[in-house]
Amino acid sequence: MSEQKKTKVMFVCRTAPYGTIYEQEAIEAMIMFGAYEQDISVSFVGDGVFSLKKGQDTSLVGKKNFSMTYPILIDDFEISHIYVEKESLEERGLKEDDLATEVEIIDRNTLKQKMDEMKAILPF
Amino acid sequence: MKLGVLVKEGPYMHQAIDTAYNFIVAAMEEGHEITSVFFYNDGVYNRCSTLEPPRDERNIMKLLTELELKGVRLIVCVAAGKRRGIVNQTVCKVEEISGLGQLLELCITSDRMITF
Amino acid sequence: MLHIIKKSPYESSALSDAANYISQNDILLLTEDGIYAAKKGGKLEGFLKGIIQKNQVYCLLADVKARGIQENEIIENVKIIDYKGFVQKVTEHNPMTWS
Repeated sequence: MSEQKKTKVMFVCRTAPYGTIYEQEAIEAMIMFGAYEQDISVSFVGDGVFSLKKGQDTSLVGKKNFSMTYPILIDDFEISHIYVEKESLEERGLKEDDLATEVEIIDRNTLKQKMDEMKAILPF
Repeated sequence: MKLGVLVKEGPYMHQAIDTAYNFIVAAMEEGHEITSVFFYNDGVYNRCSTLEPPRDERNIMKLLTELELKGVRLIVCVAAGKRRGIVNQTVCKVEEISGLGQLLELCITSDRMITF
Repeated sequence: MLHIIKKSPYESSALSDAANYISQNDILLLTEDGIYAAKKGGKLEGFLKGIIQKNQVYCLLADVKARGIQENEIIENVKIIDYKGFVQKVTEHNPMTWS
């Protein structure tokens, strides 16, 4: 499939994990979308950045630890980009080293420019 | 214009489906095409066939079924539905159940994708 | 881009998060509990006025009426639109919903 024919879709994740199901079902959608050879990106804004915090252990909560999925989203599931908003990380006392996977940390203005290029934005 | 709709909330905890319904009716009156309505997260509960609200309350199941009769395609996510017990036996119409690929298809085929 | 706010600014970061992403030519639509941001006299009045200086701000008639907010209680230059106006804005701008 030629590059210009791919549809650009961005997931905008704004909710922290476990407190609600949004992050979990967003990941399930990302995995499915990856299989269709479109241009899919994922961005984390606001409390969404907590989903990427490393060292999550859900054993005492009794829920699945789905942060393990992020490191393989790009390589195994063909997601084009994972962006994290720099300001949201800083506001929450998180640094690049605190994250469970390698991501593209970009500022708000740059992320907004990426959003403007999207055909569809799916907020979670 | 072709408008795709994603509904992420159920019929009672949030106003989402009411806003979505009124938006869809207005869009159709204005001559736009609703590509499909995709129900995800708790949104799948909107298509539960055993909902029985009091008679003097709005009946979202009926309102949505009326939209369907006017040609609006309703899609209930199979995975989100299964998790919540919205399956063949409990969904309004078995044909409405489909996969997440349909949501991506909506993004591709719609001029605009709006989330409620 | 059309930024749709559907949560009250007093309980959710929807409006303040969206405000970080409102660039030139973007518009803002307050719906559902989001319309409380348009009410005069609240502590966030100045915040919304700051947005209004640069961008068009709308609120949804049905939600304003349902919540008992009168037209004269709405901050100046916030325009009231109905569902058809909402549809029109979606055709003009790509929507993003902040909840």
